[in-house]
Amino acid sequence: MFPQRQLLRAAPRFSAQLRAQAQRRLASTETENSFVRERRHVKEHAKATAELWRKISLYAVPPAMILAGINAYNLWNEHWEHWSHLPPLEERVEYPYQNIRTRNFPWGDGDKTLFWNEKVNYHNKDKAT
Amino acid sequence: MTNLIRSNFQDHPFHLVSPSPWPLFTSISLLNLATSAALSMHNFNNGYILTILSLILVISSMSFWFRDVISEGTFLGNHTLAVQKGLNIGIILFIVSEALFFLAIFWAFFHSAMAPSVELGGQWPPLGIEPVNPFELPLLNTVILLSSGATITYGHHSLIHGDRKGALYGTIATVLLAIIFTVFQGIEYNVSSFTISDGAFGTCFFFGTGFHGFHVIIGTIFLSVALWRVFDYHLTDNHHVGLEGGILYWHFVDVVWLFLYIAVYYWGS
Repeated sequence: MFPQRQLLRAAPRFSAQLRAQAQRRLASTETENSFVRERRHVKEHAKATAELWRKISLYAVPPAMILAGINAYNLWNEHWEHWSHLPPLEERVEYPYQNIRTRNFPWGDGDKTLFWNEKVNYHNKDKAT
Repeated sequence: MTNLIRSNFQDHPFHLVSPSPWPLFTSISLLNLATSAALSMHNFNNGYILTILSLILVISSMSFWFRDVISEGTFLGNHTLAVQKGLNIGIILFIVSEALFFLAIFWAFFHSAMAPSVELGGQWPPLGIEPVNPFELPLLNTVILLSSGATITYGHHSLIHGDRKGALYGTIATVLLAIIFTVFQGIEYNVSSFTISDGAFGTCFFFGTGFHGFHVIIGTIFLSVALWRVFDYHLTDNHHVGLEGGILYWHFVDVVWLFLYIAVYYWGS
């Protein structure tokens, strides 16, 4: 009676040990499951897309930048050519909504905006506080 | 610590953070920044000294905090898949809040531009203001930003594929394009015939493009940190949350520029 019960109790443990041996997997062993499959798929997919964007970066980006650069350069020159024919800054009309000063700026002399350029921004000395 | 070892004594995949001073430091310095900025904008004596000090405090606290996050993610293995997912949601929520911030800026612009007030002569751009030609530097800047989107995708997909060189080249090209963009914006600001104090036009223009430029600079820093981490072997083909966050942020900045270009530069001129 007693050994019988013991045997009965031990049986599942033995089978579990046997099963564990059969099912044992090392962490480094790459087995096929959905997680591994997806990750491998992502990695393989990236090969083609990386190549596509490499080609775009090498063959589409520089020409586009050169074209946009030439265009910007021409328009830049045109703009300053046009500017040179305009009346001097002090002769232009200053509307009430321009050059508003309500209090001093905390930088410099307190009267000039942060990106002030003497050549293109009219310094209205009457408005200085 | 590998996940296998971790699973021996931790029954869940989450990161139980250790005590850190940075949340408190960041909160206090942010409160300081907001208070001193408001005070200095109301002519409080020497308010700007406090503002600059608080800004330095905010940047330092953030740097130390992010340094700790990098250590936890890269060297302590605290960023399990579940934690990475949480970080990604955090980045997305941050970008959503940023989108709403820019929505407010665009609202201010359209409010002023779609029905210009009588004081502006009822027209946009108002008389006497010469807007920037959208087909000059802004078009070049659009091409540069779109190109940087292509190069960062090249870098990102190379990293996923396990191509270290491609990842480095793509990210370096992106950071360079970002710097060129900022330089051109600086040139444009310097030669602009109108200023931030030229009525609603100047205010809305520099409000929108200024905050966008500020975000470009932050995005450049974000991507530069990711570049350093690729270079230093911090990032792997399947674990690079920092780089992905930077890329997402960069694309967001790119999209904001497209809206700015169409609405403020093109339609608004």
